[in-house]
Amino acid sequence: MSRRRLVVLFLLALLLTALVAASLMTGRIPLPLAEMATDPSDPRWAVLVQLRLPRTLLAVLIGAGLGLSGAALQGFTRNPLADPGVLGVSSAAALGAVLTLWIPAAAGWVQPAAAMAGALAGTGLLLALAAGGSSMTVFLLAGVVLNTIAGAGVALALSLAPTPWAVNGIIDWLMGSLVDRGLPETLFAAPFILAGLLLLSSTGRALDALTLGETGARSLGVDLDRTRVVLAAGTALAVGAGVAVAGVIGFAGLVTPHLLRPLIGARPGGLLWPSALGGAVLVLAGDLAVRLIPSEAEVRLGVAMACLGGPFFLGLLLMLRRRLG
Amino acid sequence: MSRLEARGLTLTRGSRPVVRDIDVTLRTGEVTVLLGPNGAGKSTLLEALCGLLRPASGQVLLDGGDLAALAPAARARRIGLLPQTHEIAWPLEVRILVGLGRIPHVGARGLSSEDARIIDAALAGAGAADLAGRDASTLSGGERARVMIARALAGEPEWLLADEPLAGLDPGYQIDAATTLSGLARESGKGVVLTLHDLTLAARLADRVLVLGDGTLVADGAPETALAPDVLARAFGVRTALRRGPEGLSVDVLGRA
Amino acid sequence: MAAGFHRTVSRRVAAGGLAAVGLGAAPVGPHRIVSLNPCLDAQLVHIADRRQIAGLSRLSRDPATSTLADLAATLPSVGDTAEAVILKRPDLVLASAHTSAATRQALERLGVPVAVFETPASLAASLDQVRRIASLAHRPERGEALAARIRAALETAAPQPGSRRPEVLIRMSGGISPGAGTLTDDLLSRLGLSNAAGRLGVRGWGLVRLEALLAAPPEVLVLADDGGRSGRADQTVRHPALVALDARVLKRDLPERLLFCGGPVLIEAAAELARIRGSALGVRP
Repeated sequence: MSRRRLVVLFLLALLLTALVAASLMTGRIPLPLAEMATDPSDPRWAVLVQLRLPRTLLAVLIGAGLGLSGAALQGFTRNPLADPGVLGVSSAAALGAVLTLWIPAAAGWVQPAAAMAGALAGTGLLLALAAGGSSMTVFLLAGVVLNTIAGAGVALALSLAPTPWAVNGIIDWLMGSLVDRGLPETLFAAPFILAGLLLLSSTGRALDALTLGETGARSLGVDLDRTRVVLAAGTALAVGAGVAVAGVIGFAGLVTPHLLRPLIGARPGGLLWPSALGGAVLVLAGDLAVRLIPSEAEVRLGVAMACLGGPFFLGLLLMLRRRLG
Repeated sequence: MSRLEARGLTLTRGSRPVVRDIDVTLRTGEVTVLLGPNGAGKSTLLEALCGLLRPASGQVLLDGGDLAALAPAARARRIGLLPQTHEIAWPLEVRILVGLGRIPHVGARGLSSEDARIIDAALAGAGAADLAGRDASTLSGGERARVMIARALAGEPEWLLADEPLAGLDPGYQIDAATTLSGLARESGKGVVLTLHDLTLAARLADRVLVLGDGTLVADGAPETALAPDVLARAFGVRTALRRGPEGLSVDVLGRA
Repeated sequence: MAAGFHRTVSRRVAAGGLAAVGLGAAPVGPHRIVSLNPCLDAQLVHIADRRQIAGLSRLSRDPATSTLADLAATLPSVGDTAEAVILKRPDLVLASAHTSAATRQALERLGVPVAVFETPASLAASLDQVRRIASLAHRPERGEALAARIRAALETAAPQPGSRRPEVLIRMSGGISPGAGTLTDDLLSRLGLSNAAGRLGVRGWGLVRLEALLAAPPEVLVLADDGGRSGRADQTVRHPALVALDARVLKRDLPERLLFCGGPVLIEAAAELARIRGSALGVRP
């Protein structure tokens, strides 16, 4: 592991720790730890443990999932504009969740389970569309198709929604938020996200080899079909679980590898774990920011990330144009 | 001593047959040059010999065993391919790019100091040592070609299959690369198979020449026989003369056949 | 789930009440009630003591959609996250079925009793809600009084027996109309009005296409938008195409916010609808 990478990893870990501490301290309710430490039955502990801690953990996990899958996807597609949303996983998960509108009085676990099912089904469809040794372009196009179908499905579901207020509820969720997510949600998402992270991180060598193109990679002994499956499954798990509990949070997957490339170098395998850390930092920082904005209604995290991501995307596009033109 | 064989090999691109029923046995310790007009199937044959293309019929055998039965990683350790197109997707440092050639040998532990030594040797062998610290995306065509040769050498394969490795190189570097490839075969005992367009270079470099035409082998032998005027007339539609001079064999192209 | 909470909370409140009687001093019932829904707010302010109310939803302060904006401005307001609610130290939270499930669950995990209310689909359901809120706040007599006032208002607004039932279509923001099985539908039938949305096949709250409306127009078209106060010009409610109906259809305005909730707003809603009925019968007895 190169020295520069180690330093960046260390700094990111440090930054993340600081943000975690800040996140536990931030909220409407002042939590004077000194006071509370003397009284273990102080009800404010519940706020820390039941609200802030799970929310913080979830932000870290979701951010890590987005960051790592973004880096993996950019490496695999050799396209710096790739993002977990590109594969249509987030949209498929959203569609799964939206369809639970029609299940009356569904128990609490139904919506997240449906979202995960959506993510996995979407990935399955993706692999079927892009199967059999087909090229990168076909894979990307399959992602576009999935995005379009899922997006249309969500819009259709919204237009057929039982009441106008149900529509508001879904739109709210689609905008992505970590508000009031507790330990159950975190414990639900964590194993899936961690499994996804492990799967995705195993693709490092294949992604490096792909620098030389598909033929070059295959000549180095990389099984591209297997890599594609692992990538899709890992993304479905890492990102789908996040969407299942927190709605659609975008841009962290797109932005994080870009911010890290100048610091660590462009070797795709080397960007994986740093992007996981970087994504966690980004999402947690975003969640912290929306909590700090003084307003009665908390700005939705997904909206905040889009406000960050949109201009970034634009800047990236302009820079690419200038470089190519 | 290793053998790489094609037996009854038929290769298709889509539904179009490119190469039909080819039998050829290649040995380590030799430089084999594959010649033929564009579209004759040289790259296709090379890919199949590397195990990257499933034959429509027939087999590729490595030391008597079916190449397709080998796991991709094991195969990659023994047979390396230097493709014609020099794709480089990311602006990596040249040394890191060349280091990608070690992937078949390197596990999760990453590159060792031994790997670093091999990489340096590969850079030197390809005449690219002066490029080691450069950003790969800033390389000229010729520099890129040299770096790609280094990448292929870094894998230390038993068999190196190279598609137009000398294309785009300045004459000086062409000589260097040819010397390196020849040394790989004659001194290090590797099997070297490459495609070329330059007939004289083929004559000087090859221990053995295969000429592809119309999807079959129209010649297979020493340069003197395989580069005979009648063979080249059939394969390329040109009149040639084969000369032996003090530097070695030369092929002069005289005009249309 | 809501019924279960009702029982749990009632038991707790009853236990508290018994204890209070035993001590013979302090007033009984939850001391700090937070409501997270403007419809529930509107009922709560009629039922609970002022000092029992620890917080109302933010939307109640919005004059465009709220029926108690001025009053709500004088009462504490609370954000819709669990932490914001906890800050008010409530011992009872009233939430609607549309309140974020995550927030409801977070509050339950923090040990705060949450009572969940569905949107009432009939007058009986609305009055039941009033009584339930009153029971939870331990002010049953106020609940009965409010229910009585609502019923009285409906009696006053009731039609003359045997009079004609004019057909009405209520058109709200976005072209939505309350159809069969809604509280508004129940209200219309009790006030001697026939709901055209039912005839047009709308079940629950649904969209009535402009074309369907123009092809089979009702006798009275009630345009219920927010009067542009929230700054959005809603073309669907006052579409230019509707000018074609001016000759055949009686058009009346109604503030949209009278139709969002059950509870005390029904008093004003009934009076307005009765007036509209009167106009229709005036044109064609």
